[in-house]
Amino acid sequence: MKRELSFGGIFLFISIAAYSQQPVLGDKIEKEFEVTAIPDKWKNESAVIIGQKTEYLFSRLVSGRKFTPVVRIREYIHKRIKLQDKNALEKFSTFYYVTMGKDGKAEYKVIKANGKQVDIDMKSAIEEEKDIPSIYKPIYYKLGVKFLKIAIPDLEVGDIIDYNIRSTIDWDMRTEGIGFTPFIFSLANNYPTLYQQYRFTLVDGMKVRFKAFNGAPNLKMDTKASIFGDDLSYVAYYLQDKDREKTIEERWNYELRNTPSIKFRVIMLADNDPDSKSLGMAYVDRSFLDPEDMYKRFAGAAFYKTTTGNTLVAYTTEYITKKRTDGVLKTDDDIIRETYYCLRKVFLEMYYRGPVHSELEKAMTGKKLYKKVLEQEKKGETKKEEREDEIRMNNIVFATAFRMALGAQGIPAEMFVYMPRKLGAWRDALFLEELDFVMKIKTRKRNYYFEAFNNFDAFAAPYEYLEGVEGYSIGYAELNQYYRTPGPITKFNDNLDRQEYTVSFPESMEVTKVERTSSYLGYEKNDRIGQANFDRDYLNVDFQKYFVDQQKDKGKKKKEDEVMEITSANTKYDDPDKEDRRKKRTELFETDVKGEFDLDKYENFELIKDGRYGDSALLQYNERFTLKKLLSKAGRNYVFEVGKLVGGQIKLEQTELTARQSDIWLPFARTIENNITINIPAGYTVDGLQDLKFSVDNESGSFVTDSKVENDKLIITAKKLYKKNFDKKEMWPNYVAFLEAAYKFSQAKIVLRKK
Amino acid sequence: MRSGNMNRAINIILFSFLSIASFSQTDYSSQLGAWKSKFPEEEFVAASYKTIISFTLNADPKPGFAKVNVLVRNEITIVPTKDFKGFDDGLFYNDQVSIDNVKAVNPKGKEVPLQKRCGSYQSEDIFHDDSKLCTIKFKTEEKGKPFIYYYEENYHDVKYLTSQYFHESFPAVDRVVEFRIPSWLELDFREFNFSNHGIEKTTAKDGDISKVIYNVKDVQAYSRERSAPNHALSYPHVITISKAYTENGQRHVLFESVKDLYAWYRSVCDSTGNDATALKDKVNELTAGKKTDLEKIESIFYWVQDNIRYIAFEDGIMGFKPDAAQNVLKKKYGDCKGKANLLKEMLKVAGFDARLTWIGTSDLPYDYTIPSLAVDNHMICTVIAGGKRYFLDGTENFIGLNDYAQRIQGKQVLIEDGKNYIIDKVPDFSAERNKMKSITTINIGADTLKGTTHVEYNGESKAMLQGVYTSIRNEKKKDALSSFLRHGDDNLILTNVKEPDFKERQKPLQVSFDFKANNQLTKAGNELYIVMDWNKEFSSLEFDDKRKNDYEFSNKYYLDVQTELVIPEGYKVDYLPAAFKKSTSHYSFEGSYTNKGKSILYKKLIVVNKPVLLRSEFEAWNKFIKEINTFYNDQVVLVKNK
Repeated sequence: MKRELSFGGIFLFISIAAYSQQPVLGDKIEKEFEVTAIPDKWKNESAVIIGQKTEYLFSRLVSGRKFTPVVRIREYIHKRIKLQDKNALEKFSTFYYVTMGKDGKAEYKVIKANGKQVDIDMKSAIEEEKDIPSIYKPIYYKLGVKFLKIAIPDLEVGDIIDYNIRSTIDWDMRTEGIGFTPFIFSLANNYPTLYQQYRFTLVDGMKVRFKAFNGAPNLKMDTKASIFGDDLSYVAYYLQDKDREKTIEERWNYELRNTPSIKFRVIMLADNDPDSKSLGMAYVDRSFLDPEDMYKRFAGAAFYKTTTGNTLVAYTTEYITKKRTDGVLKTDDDIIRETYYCLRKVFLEMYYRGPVHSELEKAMTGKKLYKKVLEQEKKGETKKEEREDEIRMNNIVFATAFRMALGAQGIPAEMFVYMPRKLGAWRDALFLEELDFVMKIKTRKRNYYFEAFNNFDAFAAPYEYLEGVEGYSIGYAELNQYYRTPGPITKFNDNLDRQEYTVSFPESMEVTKVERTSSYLGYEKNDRIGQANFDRDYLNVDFQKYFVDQQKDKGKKKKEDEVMEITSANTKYDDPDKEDRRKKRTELFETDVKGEFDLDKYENFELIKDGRYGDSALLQYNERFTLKKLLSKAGRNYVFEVGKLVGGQIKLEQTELTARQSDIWLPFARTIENNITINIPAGYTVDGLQDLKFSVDNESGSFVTDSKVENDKLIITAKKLYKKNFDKKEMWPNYVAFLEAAYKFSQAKIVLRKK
Repeated sequence: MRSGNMNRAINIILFSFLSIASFSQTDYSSQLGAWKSKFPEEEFVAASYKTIISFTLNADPKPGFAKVNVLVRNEITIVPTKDFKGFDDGLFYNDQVSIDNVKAVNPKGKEVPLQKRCGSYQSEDIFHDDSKLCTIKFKTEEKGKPFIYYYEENYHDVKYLTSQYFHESFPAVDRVVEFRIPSWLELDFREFNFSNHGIEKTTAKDGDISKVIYNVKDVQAYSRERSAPNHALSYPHVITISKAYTENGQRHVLFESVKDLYAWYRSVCDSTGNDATALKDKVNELTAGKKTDLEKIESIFYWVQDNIRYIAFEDGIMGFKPDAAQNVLKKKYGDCKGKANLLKEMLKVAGFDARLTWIGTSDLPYDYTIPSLAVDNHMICTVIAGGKRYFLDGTENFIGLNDYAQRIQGKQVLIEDGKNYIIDKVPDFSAERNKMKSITTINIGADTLKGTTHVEYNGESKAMLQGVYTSIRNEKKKDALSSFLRHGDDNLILTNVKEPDFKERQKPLQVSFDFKANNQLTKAGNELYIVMDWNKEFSSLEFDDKRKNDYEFSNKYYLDVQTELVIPEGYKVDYLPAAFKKSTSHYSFEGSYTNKGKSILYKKLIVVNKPVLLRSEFEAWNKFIKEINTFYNDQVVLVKNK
């Protein structure tokens, strides 16, 4: 009895706003969910989504007559799917789901081909024990999160499954913020969809930020489902979509830019005032992202002082000032470049040579920082991913340090805030969470863009994810200084992948001996530079060049209060694992060659240019190896598969040869060159050169080859250009033309004929 | 008895701490160089790794506990070979085994905090079981400075203590597994894969305790590699057989012989609660109109394969006890036990003598001379018709009656027989059961080769194609089949693919198609250079010295290829590659080109008789492949008639 009273007391104290009748989720099931017949065009699909509906109800908890800061969010998900093959049967044989809140639950039924409906007893669902870190367990417990699974009985091909899941969470605006989770998704699903609806019912004092893209339907008010009360109203908004084909699987496709997509987020207009109902009825906010909001969110990122940052700036300023005094650095471009490299040297020195024997020191030297950076980068997916032996500085610490270090030299820095290309153009941005930033410096010569550096980035080298983006530049000379500007676009000459082969054959003609020099520029360096510099020799170069002699400054008061003693008189980096690293590097490249060819023996790797200094700095290395199977015996003669040397080329599927449904979003323009010199073995001539001639050149790309015999050498050149980073789908035939030519060349063979 | 056990427990704890303290000051920096050669690229090495297994007789066991319990104490001196690395380990447990007293002690002898996350372990094939996994993490310090890592496994029932392995995810310099067997317990051991591992076995007596100690030096880390056989087939381990215990002068048998194992299985299965009446309608429907016994058996067997989905529940005793037949029929899903039991009950309703049958698949090297729960991992149904035993595996998808998947071929079975049991063996088939025969005709076009191919699939090659085809989404089936038939070769374009009946069980699967093969014809002067075999099976299957495990083929192979190239008008044969033949008891290759006047006939026969290739056989295999490649890399040359 006591217990009931106490619960009752709580209920009286905090309850859901009950000034007027509340809507109920899932009470209306649209007639579209009753469909059982599938259109002929989708008869051969694995499964068809007959209907899916996601519904949210946002209400406010009240205490007495006052709103509390807690928003109660109810979620209702309803799906009805026809299973048309064994793949779908296996996939939906088991049902894994999550509920939240005390009243969280799921209902599931199977509609047999004869129309009979079988309700699944969800009591037999098994709750899974998840290995949630203990720190998060209280949160999961508080939210009442349950991970459940059930095997669906008596399920057959031809059945329709129909389930719904209900959850409730109490969202405390004081701790969770006023913006509910943003949703960004394409309306195209994994299976074709006959009908889908998204619905929000909002109590007063809320809004939905919403935008539809690429022909997606708009959000409409549902006056019938809304409840308009004297004290409080609940306004229902919905969008519905019909007859939607499944996701397109095409190469070079950004789904959000090519298919009908929507973005939405419910914003709670925080107000704990008893008169908060004056905030008015919920509405749809279709406005664009306000640049002022962008400014407020991002400008401060270059003002985040830390001990690490102070250390970087203090030492860099000392170095640059001295070099300027010595007359070594003349132009702003010189100062910007050397500031960047000096900052990086100090950072790397802190990381690789810093005292790391305590947790605190680890944090100071970047070890902890690195972990944080990695966590952040996980969110970035393909962008900024960790490569071999790479550490990347935290972008906020970098932005602050770079701005301060350049400021000390009188050079202003800007921050460039941009909308990532895969998400859309700037006008498509709706949420601040979609945006990202880099630093930007303008000189008379050009604009420079800087990501927080890693071990290898060359000064002002292009960043793939900045390609063709749109954004705003934030200046720091005065407050509220920002202006719209496009991001950089590289040309095909900027991104180079060049392979120079010298090929010869031993007398036994059993293998093919190859010496290859690979050169990379621009984006093409990114995937290989970490591996090529795996020996860390570059640290010696950095440490020597950007050495700050602190010995003579001993006893002097430091310029900054919080600066660490990092650099030392030792300008060498003694890596105890140096030999292991060299060996490992060779193994990594050997593995790469194995991926390209049938490797017989990998003999040598030599780094020629490390690619780390300057945006025109080549990454270049030389390898020697022998290959199997490229040479086939044919009587007295040999057939040599010379085309294979240009590496694997894209082979378009038969369906791709004739049709393209979506616009073409290439990562960047680029040049791929192969120059092959074959030492014709003594006593042989070459034949079959007619198969090596290709010349396809159009506005989207090209593939041009040439071959000639000079003395005892066959010289072949092949050049492939991707000229753009974007094309309309109508231009697809251009791509088919040069991609098919390149593939055909890759299969070409010549005959070494015995004289 | 109980107080005695308590004292023993205290002694154990004291021993643990004393031993930890004694290790605490050692520094292994001087040994890192040697370890680097022995265990390259390993970030942690166990200087010592000791597992002590002791037994307790529980006079008054708690619910869920048996009379004989087991305590397995693991003490590992783990040494980082690099500075400041995070050590992590995964410890499995379940309803019968708990993990306790996990701790790590730093080089100064101080216990350090552990990060421990535990939760259900989801294995690939099992929907729900009681397996759980704890991941343990702690940070180490400078290289060479050891941590003591300690944990205990408590077995609630000695019958679940089945196997002890020596390999772990990290290497060990000195690995010890010590059994401390009290006089009241009869324990037996069977050793597997011990050869060439240098494992020493010693015995000692310590009062009432008999010690059996296995010691091995320089144990490499367990290595996961593609196509590695199940670890039971390759890694050394000891199977423990808990035969009996004596309490108050009374001897109690545990698993002394297979009879005891069978008795326990039977006791578990007897309580399944089958209801034959619920099966009658379905059985009558399936057998209606079937004239012979075999037709009736086939009808039921194939229906179960086609209509009962495989979803496994291995929770606690459900790991051994089948779900009732009527439940499986109603739910239309079950695991191997549920399917075997349903088959048995349905066949019994149809009037046949059908029985539950236990079997260890080819993943296990054991037979029923070992009375242990480790010996089998699968259940099927045996039906006896016309005096012959047919073994029905309900988990297979397209297997015919009297045909057996490779994973159960040649394996011993334990067939129920009331209070008794029958030991039998599933027939073993030669590689020819899996014959894939292709007949191709090639014509030379303007720039390409064109032709038709007819392929016949049998056995595993057939089942694999059927399984893959039916599991692919409808709309992708056509492309997937084409890609399969092309062996992924982008130079082939297939048309007119005549699909077989993918549900066919008793006859071979026949597929035919037309093709255009680009880039297999090279023209030079008056000559045509022609590749007649672009599949070149096994040409890349070579092993380097980095591979740590044996290699398991998908199945035994029997590839029979015949390709006829029509010589175009105005051309004649200029060169044919020489024939090649090589044969060992495990594998063979035979290839030849024959000039038949108007055509060239290419024949190839590859047979792999043995599903597992041992590391010791890699060198000979590599040589075999090299010779095959010499044959493959030789082309036909035609020349214009003068």
